[in-house]
Amino acid sequence: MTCEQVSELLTAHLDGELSPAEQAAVETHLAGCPSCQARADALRTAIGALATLPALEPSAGFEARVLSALGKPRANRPHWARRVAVVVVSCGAVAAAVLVALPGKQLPGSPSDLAIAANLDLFENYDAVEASDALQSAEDVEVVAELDELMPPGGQR
Amino acid sequence: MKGPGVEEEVDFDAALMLKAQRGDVEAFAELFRRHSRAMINLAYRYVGDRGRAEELAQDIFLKLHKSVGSYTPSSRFKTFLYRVATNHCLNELRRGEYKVRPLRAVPDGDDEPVDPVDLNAVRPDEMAEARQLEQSVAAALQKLPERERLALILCRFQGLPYRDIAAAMETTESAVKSLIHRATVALTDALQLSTEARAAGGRS
Repeated sequence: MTCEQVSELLTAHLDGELSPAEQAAVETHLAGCPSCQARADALRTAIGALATLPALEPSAGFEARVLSALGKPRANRPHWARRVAVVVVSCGAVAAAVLVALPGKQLPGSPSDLAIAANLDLFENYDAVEASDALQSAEDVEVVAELDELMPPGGQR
Repeated sequence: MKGPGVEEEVDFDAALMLKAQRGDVEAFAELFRRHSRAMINLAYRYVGDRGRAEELAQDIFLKLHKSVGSYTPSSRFKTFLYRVATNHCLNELRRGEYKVRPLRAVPDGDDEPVDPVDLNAVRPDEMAEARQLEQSVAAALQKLPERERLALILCRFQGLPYRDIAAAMETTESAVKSLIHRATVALTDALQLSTEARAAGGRS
C-alpha cells in the first residue's frame, strides 16, 4: 500500500472498522513508515481528546417539559414551528395548490404536479403533508388565524 | 453479515415501543428517560449551543412520538431513533431555524442544561484546559459540513459503529467511512492548530 492509500484508511483503522486483510496491510505499512505512523498517532490523540469531553446533563425541567408537550403536541409546538407555518402559508397560492393537490389524483403534467415539482423542497423540508393535515385540527386553525399577527409589519400579504 | 446473536437480541426498547404503539404513555416516557441524555448530547454537539440542544432534542422526541405507529419490530429501535434524529438534525439545519434563532434573553437556572465542564471540574488549570478543548471542538464541529459533522458525532460521541451510522443516515458504510475520515482529519488539524496557537501565545 502507498502512503496515500494508507492515509485514507487511518481513521477506519483506528476505529477498528477495516477488514482483517486491510487492517494487516495498514499495520505492515505503519511499521515501516514513520510519517504515516506520526499521522496515525495525531489522529489517535485527537480521537482520545474527544473521548474526554464530558456529556451534557439535561436541565431539571427537561423531562417534565417534553412529557407534557407529548400530551398536547400541537398546542405546545415551539414557536419555530409556527414560523415554518407562516413560511408555508405565505407562499400563498403556490402552497395552497400544493396542499389542495395532495389528496386528489394527479394527471401527469397537470398544474398541481408542476406545483409539487416546483416545491419538492417544501415537501422534504417543511413537511407540507403534515401542514395540510394540521389545518384540520382546531388548534392549527387557530394558528392560521394568528398568522397575520405573526407576520412582521409590512410583510407580504 | 448479521449473526444469529444480533437477530435474537432482545430489544427492550422495541418492546417499549410496541407498548407505546398501543397507547401506553408510561412506556413512551420510559423510552424518553432511556434516551433523552443521548439525544441532548447529539443535539448539543450538532448545534453547539446548550439551550437550543434541548429544543432540538425535544423536537426529536415529539417526532418520534408522532412516528410511533410506523415502527415495526423488525428494525432495531436504536436504528429507528437515530434515523428520526438524523433526519431532524439535517432538516433543521437546512431550515436554519436553530441557527438564526436568537438566544433566550434571560436564561433561568432551571431551564439551562448543566455545563458539562463545570460538572467535572477538578483543578482550576485542568478546568481551563477542558474548557479550551470544549471550545476548540465546538468551533471545529461547526465548521464541518453537516453530514460530516453528524457522522462524526454519531461515531465519536454516540459510539455507533459505522454500520449503524450508515443505517441512520440512510447511506452506505463506505460513504460513512469517508465522511468520518474527513471529519476526523479536519478536527485533528483544528485541535493541533489551536494547541499550537495557545503554546505560541503562552510563550510571548
